[in-house]
Amino acid sequence: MNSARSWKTLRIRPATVVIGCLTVGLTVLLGWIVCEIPERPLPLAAALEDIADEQRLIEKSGVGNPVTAVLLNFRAYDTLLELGVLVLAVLAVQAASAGIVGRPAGSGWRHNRLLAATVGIVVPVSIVVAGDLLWMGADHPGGAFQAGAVLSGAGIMLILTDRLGRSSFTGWQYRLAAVVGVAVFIIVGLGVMAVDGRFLQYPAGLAKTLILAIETAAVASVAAIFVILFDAVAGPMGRGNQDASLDVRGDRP
Amino acid sequence: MTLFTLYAIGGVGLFAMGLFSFVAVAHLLRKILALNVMGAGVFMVLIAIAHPERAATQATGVDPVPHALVLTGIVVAVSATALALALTCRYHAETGRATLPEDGPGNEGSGR
Repeated sequence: MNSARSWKTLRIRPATVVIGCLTVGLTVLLGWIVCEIPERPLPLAAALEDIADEQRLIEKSGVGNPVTAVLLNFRAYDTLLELGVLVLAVLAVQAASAGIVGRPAGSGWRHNRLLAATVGIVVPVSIVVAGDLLWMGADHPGGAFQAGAVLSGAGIMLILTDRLGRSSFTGWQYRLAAVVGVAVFIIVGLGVMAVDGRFLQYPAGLAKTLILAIETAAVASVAAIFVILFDAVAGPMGRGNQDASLDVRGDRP
Repeated sequence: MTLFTLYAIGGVGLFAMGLFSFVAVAHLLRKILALNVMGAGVFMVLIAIAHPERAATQATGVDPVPHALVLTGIVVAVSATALALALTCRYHAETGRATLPEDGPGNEGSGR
């Protein structure tokens, strides 16, 4: 660690002052711009000026929650590509962290009885909450990504208590779970294309079923991908790594 | 001051703090944290824009499009953060350093 940058001889570099002044100037400019945003700037909002029109559109989408309707129906392309981005992130992270020594096995947390009891309660509850979020997401706040995030939280808890090991993430089950979301999305999109002629244009009456199928697959993918990402990063950076050069505490602006 | 301006100014403040850290701090982990703070500021501004007093879509209370954007953005931000952390780990494993080298001759290795 460079002593000039440590606690005792902390001094402010001229560059930091310049950066600070520029940031303040930019902040004032941004604040002014944000306050000047016109009242009705959004194209979809402008297209939906008639409230009755909008309600009819939401009903036609097959789900009552407008955010889910936008995510899985009106702008389904966005969500499809987002799931693709997640798969790409998994590939890139696994490639980047391949060969880096992970944390040592058997950290002792497995034998902490209080933690074991907590995990025993929290993990099943998380699974139920994830299912509820998925189902409720059709008509109320919630949905596939929230459910997947909750489920991945349960998985990360299992990793932290050594119940899910590092080696288990190379199995085909995890690879399948990681791609099932984008795969089902594409299959449904192509399937309705064969029926109706347009990619991701759900036929009337089937919209809710198809959206639910896609969301269920997306939950599995999001949960699996977040768990794999966490594991790939937490291994090298976790408790086992005592390397001081990764420590951020000595670093000040 | 409306609720919108309060949230929007808060978002801009978060963005500015993140930006300052991102530029001024050398350690890569701190840079990644700063990027996430910047992202949180952007999400806050977008959520504020969706507020019913701003949006034209009175029927559903909020404008769903910015909400969907933020939801997508959060998930992508998480995976981008994971990728950044993995690249930092790799960089650290290869070079033993956690900061990028500074520009200019004779400066090699001075960034910590």
